[in-house]
Amino acid sequence: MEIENKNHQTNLCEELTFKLIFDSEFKILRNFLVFRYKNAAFADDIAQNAFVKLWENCKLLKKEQAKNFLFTTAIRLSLNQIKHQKIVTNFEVNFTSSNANKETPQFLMEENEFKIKLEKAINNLPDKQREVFLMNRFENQSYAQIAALLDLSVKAVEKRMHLALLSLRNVVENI
Amino acid sequence: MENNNTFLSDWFENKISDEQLKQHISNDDFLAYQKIKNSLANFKMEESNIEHHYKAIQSKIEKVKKQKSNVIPLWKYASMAASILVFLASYFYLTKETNLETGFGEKQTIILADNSEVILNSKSTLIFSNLFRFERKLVLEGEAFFQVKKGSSFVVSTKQGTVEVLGTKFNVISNATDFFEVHCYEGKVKVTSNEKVQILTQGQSIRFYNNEVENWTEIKSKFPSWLAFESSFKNTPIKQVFEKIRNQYGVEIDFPKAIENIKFTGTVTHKNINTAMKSICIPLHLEYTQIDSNQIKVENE
Repeated sequence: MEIENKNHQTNLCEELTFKLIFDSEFKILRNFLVFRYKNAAFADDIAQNAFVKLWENCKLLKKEQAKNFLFTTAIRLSLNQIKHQKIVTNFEVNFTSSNANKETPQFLMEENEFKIKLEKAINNLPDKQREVFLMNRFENQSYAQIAALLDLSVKAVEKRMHLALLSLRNVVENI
Repeated sequence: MENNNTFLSDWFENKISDEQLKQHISNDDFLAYQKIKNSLANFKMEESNIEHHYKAIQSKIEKVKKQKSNVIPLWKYASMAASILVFLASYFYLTKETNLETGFGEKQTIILADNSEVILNSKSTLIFSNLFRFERKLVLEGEAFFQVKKGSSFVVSTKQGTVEVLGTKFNVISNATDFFEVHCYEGKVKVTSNEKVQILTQGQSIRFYNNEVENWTEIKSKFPSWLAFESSFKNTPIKQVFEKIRNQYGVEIDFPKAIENIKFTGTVTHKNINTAMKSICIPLHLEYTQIDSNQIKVENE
């Protein structure tokens, strides 16, 4: 029974398992890289390469180690690449609003204006605050999960969130 | 209050209630944060095409696989090239021949790989390959004296025939055209020429000349006279005698064709050409004149 379990849970080399990990981890890894480097093409490339590295090491790794391996590898790959060519931050994180259309045009216009301001403020956050803030908001990662992925203490993540919110406060001028 | 400095993030994660947050900040601030929180809840990331990324990863993996399978053959090619080089080097070394040639009046002593000794008389050629220690085989043109160490068969091939031995001392004379003479000084040798086979024992000699075979026995000498700077002839055609003189002294000898088969018996020195020519010509009633340092003319008296 135990042996069966082991066979099921591991073997990343099998396509089925590999695809499972891809489905659950690719989007978050890719978006994390977008949040951090604000360059979509760069993030796509690095995220893909991290998965290639995962496959190359599939015999050495267990399924549970995959996520951490992907993030560590992606960060290392990014740093290597940045060393060789300064990446251009040509990308602003864009969001679509899914606001229900029951409000007045006046309200919607104000709302849209506010959205644009907020976007800009988020993009201008220091890198460390932005990546933590966006991971939490858009990838639904708890502070503890973010801390584990980035090899930080939970306290440090909370501090970054707090600072991010403090600077976003300025977007709201008057209520 | 330990959590003071992160009350905003705590509230954001619903760890503390709105009321708890309000204790830290003004009402205006609270409303602002609430607005941010509510707006963000309606934000969505632009989705990128996940399947497209999976395909990209798969094609990158294929590329890595190919690179890996390309690396191995390259390494194989290198080792193949190295082994071919080693093979060629050893091939050239092993099949390389040693080619020894003596000039007029020159003698050379050669110790072979099996410690057999060959003394090469003047104007003679000896060829043997680097594989000699595995196959004792030599090619001779001219005259040589062999002292063969005991062992596997030892073969001297000449244009006129072959001499095969196991361990002995013998002398071989073979010119380029028609003269072949073997004298056995010790042990036993097998002489083959034109499909005629003859075994010689100690002191026996055999000569093939003009389709004639001649045998004689002479036991007293232990080694050929030429090693003592003399040439001994026994019933030897004068043509062959003059060829020896030519080889020793490097002179051309002109003689009428009519006398070329006169037989000569005697010993001729290698040290003085006048003494040598006298010792040949006087007994045979021939006259010789030295035209210049390179030419001698011989005539009937």
